[in-house]
Amino acid sequence: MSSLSGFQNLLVPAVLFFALGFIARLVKSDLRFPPDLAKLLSIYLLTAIGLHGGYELSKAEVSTAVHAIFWALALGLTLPIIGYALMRATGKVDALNAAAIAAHYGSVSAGTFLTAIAFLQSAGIEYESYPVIMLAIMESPAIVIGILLAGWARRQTKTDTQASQEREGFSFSGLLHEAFTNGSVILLLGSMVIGAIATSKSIETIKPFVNDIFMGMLCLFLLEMGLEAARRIEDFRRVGGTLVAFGVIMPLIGGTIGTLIGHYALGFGIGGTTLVAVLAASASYIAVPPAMRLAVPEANPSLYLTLSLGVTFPFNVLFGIPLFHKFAETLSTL
Amino acid sequence: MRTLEQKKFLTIITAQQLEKMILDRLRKYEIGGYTIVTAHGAGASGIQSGMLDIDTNILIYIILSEPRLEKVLVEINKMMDQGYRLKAIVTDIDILPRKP
Repeated sequence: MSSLSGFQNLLVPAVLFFALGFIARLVKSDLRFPPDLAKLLSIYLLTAIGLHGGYELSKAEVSTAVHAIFWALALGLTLPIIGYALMRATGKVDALNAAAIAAHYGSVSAGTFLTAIAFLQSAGIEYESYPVIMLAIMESPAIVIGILLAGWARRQTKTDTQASQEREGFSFSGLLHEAFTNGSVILLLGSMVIGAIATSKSIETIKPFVNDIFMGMLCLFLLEMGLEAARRIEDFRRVGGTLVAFGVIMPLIGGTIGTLIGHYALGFGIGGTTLVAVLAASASYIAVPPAMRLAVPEANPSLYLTLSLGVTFPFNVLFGIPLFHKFAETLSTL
Repeated sequence: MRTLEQKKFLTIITAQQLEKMILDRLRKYEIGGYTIVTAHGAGASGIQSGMLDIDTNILIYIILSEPRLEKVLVEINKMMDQGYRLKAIVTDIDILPRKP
């Protein structure tokens, strides 16, 4: 069988480790990672996926890569606007919080993307390498939209906060510089360049690092993310039912748009289309939260972090990925 | 034996992402000496587990004179008005000065 059916996605080790972390927290286990280990795992995964993606991209067509970059930008700039409109329509969240939350949904979650890769690899499904470059491109543009939406919201309300921020000469360019030189973006793009320009022979020497231990490291990372996601459940009451529902509905909208773009606009196969869908469905927890802390300080971090880490991440890992895969599979048969 | 000197001890609790911004603003008041430790906890901004960069808190410790503290507190107050989430705790301390 070349593909996983139904929700057999749950039986992939990486996903099972995510569930283990989640359950460990729910049963109040004292399981805890040393803080720097979680950060190290994150650095490793971005490096490995960057090297792997860069190597594959060096053999890819430039025109398709440019096409993928265009659609990555389009998704990154459009999804936050859809998210913002949806949230404002609920009437449950003010404009500044809506802007900060929306920015998260235009960006991406590397953890979800890597889980999708684990899912595809477990099922023996081939996938294009272009989504890796889309992952790097989509980290930051949504931040710009989030800041613009917040600026627009402030002008509507004309708060003292806005006035004082203008007096302080809030540095938009400085923030953009930080967003686009964010450690994860630099690491991912840098690793891709190294993977692309290094000789095939030299890449072979780091194969155990890039390939062989990748899934094991991903399991550990997802174990930690499971703990982190379960911790956020305590904040569900603060967030409220409507926003929790948004954390499920928004990835479904993004994933549907992503699947259509992956299949029709980019012409990818089932694997590549699933990855584009996952990119569009996921919410950032690396690049966007720090940017929103600085640019939209009025927004409550517990709202966007709970949605991103506590609702959307688990939803995508457990349900979104197999769902988008199924959708991509259905489109391919039409 | 050195004589104990009266100073103020300022502790700022905030998110790690605000570290650079706060230090840049404090530098205007020629504050170059500080100690920063990472921390985890919870509050109105939700859980700060300390496991990821995005949910790690820091404590900034600064020892300073009262006149300088007043200027710094005005700056911190401005930041709070802008919506930045931080706590400033001030305590009176006696310190053994480095120079006798």
